[in-house]
Amino acid sequence: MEPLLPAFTLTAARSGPTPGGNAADDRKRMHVDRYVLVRTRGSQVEWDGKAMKGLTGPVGAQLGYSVVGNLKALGLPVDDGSQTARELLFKLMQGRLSAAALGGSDAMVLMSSPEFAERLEVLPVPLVEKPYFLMLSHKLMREQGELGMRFWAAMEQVRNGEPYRRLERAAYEAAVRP
Amino acid sequence: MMPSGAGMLNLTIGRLRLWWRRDLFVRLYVGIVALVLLSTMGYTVYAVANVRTTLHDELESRARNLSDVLVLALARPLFDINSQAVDSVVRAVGATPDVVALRVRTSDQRIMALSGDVVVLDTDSDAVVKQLPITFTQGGRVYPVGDVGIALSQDSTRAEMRQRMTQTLFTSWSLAALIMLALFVVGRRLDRPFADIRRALDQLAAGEVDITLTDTGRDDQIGRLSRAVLRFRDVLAKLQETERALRDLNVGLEQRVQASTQDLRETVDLLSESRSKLQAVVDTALDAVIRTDPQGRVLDWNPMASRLFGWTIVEALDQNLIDMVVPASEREARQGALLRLSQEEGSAGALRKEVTAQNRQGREFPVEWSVSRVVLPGTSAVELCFFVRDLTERKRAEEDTRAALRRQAELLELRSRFVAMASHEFRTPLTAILSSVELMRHYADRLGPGEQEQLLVGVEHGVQRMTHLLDRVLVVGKADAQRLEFAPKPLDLAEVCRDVLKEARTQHDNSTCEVLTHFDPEPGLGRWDEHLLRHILGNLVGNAFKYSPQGGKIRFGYRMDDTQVVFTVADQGIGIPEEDLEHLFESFHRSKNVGDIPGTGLGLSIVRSSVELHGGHIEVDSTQGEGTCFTVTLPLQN
Repeated sequence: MEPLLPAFTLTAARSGPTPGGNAADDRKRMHVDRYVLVRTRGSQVEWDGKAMKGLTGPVGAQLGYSVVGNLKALGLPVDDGSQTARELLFKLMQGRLSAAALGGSDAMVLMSSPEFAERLEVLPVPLVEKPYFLMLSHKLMREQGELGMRFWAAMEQVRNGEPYRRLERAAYEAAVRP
Repeated sequence: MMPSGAGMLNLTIGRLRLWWRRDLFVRLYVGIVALVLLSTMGYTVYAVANVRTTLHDELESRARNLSDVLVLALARPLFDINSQAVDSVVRAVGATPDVVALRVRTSDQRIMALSGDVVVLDTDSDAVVKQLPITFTQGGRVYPVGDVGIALSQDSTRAEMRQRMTQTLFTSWSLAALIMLALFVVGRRLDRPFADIRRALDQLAAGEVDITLTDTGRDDQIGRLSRAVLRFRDVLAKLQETERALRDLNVGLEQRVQASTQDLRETVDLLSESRSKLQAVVDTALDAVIRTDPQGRVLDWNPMASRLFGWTIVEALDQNLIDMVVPASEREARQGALLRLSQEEGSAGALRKEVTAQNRQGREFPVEWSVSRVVLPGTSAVELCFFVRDLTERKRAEEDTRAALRRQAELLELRSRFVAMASHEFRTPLTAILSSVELMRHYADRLGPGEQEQLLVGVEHGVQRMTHLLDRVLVVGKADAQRLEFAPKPLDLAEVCRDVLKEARTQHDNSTCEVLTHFDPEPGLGRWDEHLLRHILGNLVGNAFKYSPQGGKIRFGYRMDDTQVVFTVADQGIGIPEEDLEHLFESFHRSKNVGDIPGTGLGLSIVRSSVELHGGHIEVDSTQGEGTCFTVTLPLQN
């Protein structure tokens, strides 16, 4: 599922202001997202949270996603040619990848489909897990810092509210519905 | 009256034919136009085919290039199963006007992107279709990631081909039209000076040398031709002058030719007459004149040859002369002689000899055979010319001459014998008569009557002997002159024989010979000349007494049958030498062994003549010293 608004991880947000300064306040996050490692059933690929084993080829990831940098930082071969998670899983099923790094929500939605679930599996240890914030400009924060803080506070309030949770569930169901 | 449609067509065709036949430019123009049209059509066909091939190749190349680009462009998106990228590429390429269909499939044949009517990719159509597999290599591995199919329409190619064909047709046919127009203009321009030249030549042909030509100053062919016509005019003018001179000369020449022709005609007539005469001479020649080739095949055969040999000229021509006229026994030798003669070196050869020839019926006769070898004038061909003269008459005349000479010799011999006989046979009685007359003249007074009577008897005997002798000479003469009388009648042969024997005994009363007779007792029914029969038998019986020794035996008799009577007179006398038998019956001939026995040599000649008058014959069988037997056979003459 694509985010409705541009969202940036902590690393990306370092170029901009964050709620709480350098030590970002996770409560003000839009949501927490994670990257999981998907492998074909029967594959020898393993991820223990620190190291990846059993790779016979590159690890696939979506173009432009931050996990690409994480994987490369681990010294792993990365193939970031796919643009969508669905295509990435197809690519994994075609045997062109040893494993695929997917966003947690994408993986949850897609793996609910038998098309993928019968042949793929998600490893339990996520590759990356981190909060995502609404990104505001430095100018706004300089001139109207309070307004910015209100955006972030409202974000916490709405995310924790029941309507949002219902919407979240409805969206999930709609996403996994065949 | 207006002509019908067919008439108009025939009239038009006739005019076109006349135009074609009379105008060289028409033929040249039509030929070049036909050539240009054919070339243009050929070029058009070639150009169309070339355009079609080129455009098809271009389309193929475009399809190939496009598909190659697609393969390269789609490899990574397909590997990544990046449908968005694939769609972008497909949309971009599918927007190309020529692309009527484009399809991208994954490696598991799942359609990933489509554009246009993809049915044309899997069915037969006139679109150019390319189907290519796509692979992607990563990490040393080659991944089959799918395939791409693309179909390009030929519509734009057709449109371009039509455009190019239109351009080509327009260009080539415009060029052809331009060439034909140029030809027409050039032809018209060329025709004018040629018309001048033709008019000038027509004038020259009519004998007019006053002509004008306007293009003599040009340097091209027309100018050269015009100048050549002027030179021809000059030559023609000279020729006309020469012709006039020649005409004058020709008049004199014709007169001379006529005179020469007349001389020649007379010569030919003379020659013809000479040949006719020569042929007439050959035809009327008394000799056979025959021409043959060297092998003896007859080439010519005159009428005398036909008369001589019995073959007509038609039958004789081309036949072998030797086979026709030479007896078989002499052919080989005669053929060899001819062969040698025909092969002799030199211009002529000849041989002449008397030979035996034969006619068509096979009768052989003597001929004089002259052959000459003739080398025909002006060639090396050889012919043989035969002159064959019949010698039959000449040989007969020669034989007659020889017979006459023999007869003359015989007459001379006869005369000698007669003189010898007469000198002997007449002298003896004449001497006796003369002696008696001398005794009577000188001693008549002293002789008694008996002695005178004896002398007269002696004279009488002498005269009788001479008379008998002359009678016999006359008989021989009559016999030789075929004037002996022959009067047969029935006779009592036995009585005649006894009279003859009695008379012989009287004449030879001193003979002591014994005569044995055998006369057939049957009366004969034949007819004989008594006078001649008495000559025959009297001579033979008289000779038997005369030439038989004393005491010898003489057989005399005859036998008769129904047809003939055979007389036999045999003695044991001196016989007749064999060499005298041949001449025994010749007048005045006497055998060499008669010695002093008197005789005239006429008796047996008269006997033979008398026997021949009776139609009979006489035979003699004699051995000298043993005796002689005469057998006379006479028919009964009924």
